[in-house]
Amino acid sequence: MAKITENTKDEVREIVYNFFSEECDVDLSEISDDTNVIRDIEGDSLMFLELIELFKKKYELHIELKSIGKYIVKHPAETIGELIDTTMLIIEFENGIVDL
Amino acid sequence: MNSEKIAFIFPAFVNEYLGKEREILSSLSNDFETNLEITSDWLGKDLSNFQEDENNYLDEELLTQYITYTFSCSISDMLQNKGFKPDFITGYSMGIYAAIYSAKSIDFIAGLEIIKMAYHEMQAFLGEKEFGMGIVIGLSVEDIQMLLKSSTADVELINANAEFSHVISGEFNEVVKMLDIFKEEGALNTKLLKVSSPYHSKYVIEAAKNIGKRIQEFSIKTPVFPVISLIDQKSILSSKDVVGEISRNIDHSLNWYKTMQFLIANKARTIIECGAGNGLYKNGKFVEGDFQIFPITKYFILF
Repeated sequence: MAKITENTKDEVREIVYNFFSEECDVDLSEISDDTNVIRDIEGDSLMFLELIELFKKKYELHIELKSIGKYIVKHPAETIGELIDTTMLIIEFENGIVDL
Repeated sequence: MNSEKIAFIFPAFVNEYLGKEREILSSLSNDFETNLEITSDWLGKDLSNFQEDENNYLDEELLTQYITYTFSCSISDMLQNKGFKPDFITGYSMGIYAAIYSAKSIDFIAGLEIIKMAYHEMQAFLGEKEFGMGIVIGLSVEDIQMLLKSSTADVELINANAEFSHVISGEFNEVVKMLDIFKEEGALNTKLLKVSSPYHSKYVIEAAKNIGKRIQEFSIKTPVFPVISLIDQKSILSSKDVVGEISRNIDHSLNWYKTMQFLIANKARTIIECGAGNGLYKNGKFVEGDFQIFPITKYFILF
């Protein structure tokens, strides 16, 4: 389980913003926490999968994708802000996210 | 000696355009405009008003196949005219037709005719029943197989796009039902494809047999470049192999992920997605290795 520090959320936020800016070919200034990933910047679920893989490597997470899927089906993450919050839970709880 | 190789990869039907394909291609060559005119004449329907964001015919499956093929062949023409010679060619699903065109096994019109023949043969065998295909993101092949086995749905796993991205095929309602089950069991996302035929499944075995017979009517030459089979990753090197592959491609399950791994293991370092959209580029992000995929939006790096 990764150690959460005060800086973790800022780090996650920066990675998520830069990731979608590059993947969706959108200027950083056009992205906010309220940006809807699919509707506003034409993101997709493969991008989300790529982002999860990125965080799994960065924070050495031991989590099965299906645990995230089971959480997402109950708590959909559609905006950048919601994705950041979900990512924080993934880092904090790993497979335990499914019981939240 | 530079042993790094080039691969041309051809997408199946487009589900979504990026919106700037025609503009990008027109800035590089006149091949698309010329081939679109040929397709229009052959079809007896003026496609010159085709636009990626409007008038894109995405709800017309056969027309979308013609346009996808036209895009892909035009890109192959442009690249080869600019000196790119592929060491490998492969086509995702129905991308096989543009792949064998690129390998100079068939001419442009023959490809259109084969697409038409294959589509109508499929429809004739499918009858009144509704069929479909869907994508499952986020579950492993083992999980998908286990869930298919434990359900009563008559649905088949017919392709692996990546380790956690798969395609299923079957009767429409059953596909929808399974996609819901996959979501409940932890898929990050599932999506129905805009396809009404259950390609690469047992449902089309009889159609594949007929297509196998009718394909003999076409003039198919020995490929100039090796075409890699998505079924077993073997090189298709003779006209007889091409004929066999066209028929097998209809009713056999595929493995795109394994095919990409084969290309990379065989030193393909520059992989060019020859078609509209960027679906193969996106899937390629989940394949490990030292290579780069160039979708249409990144062609400017190649020249």
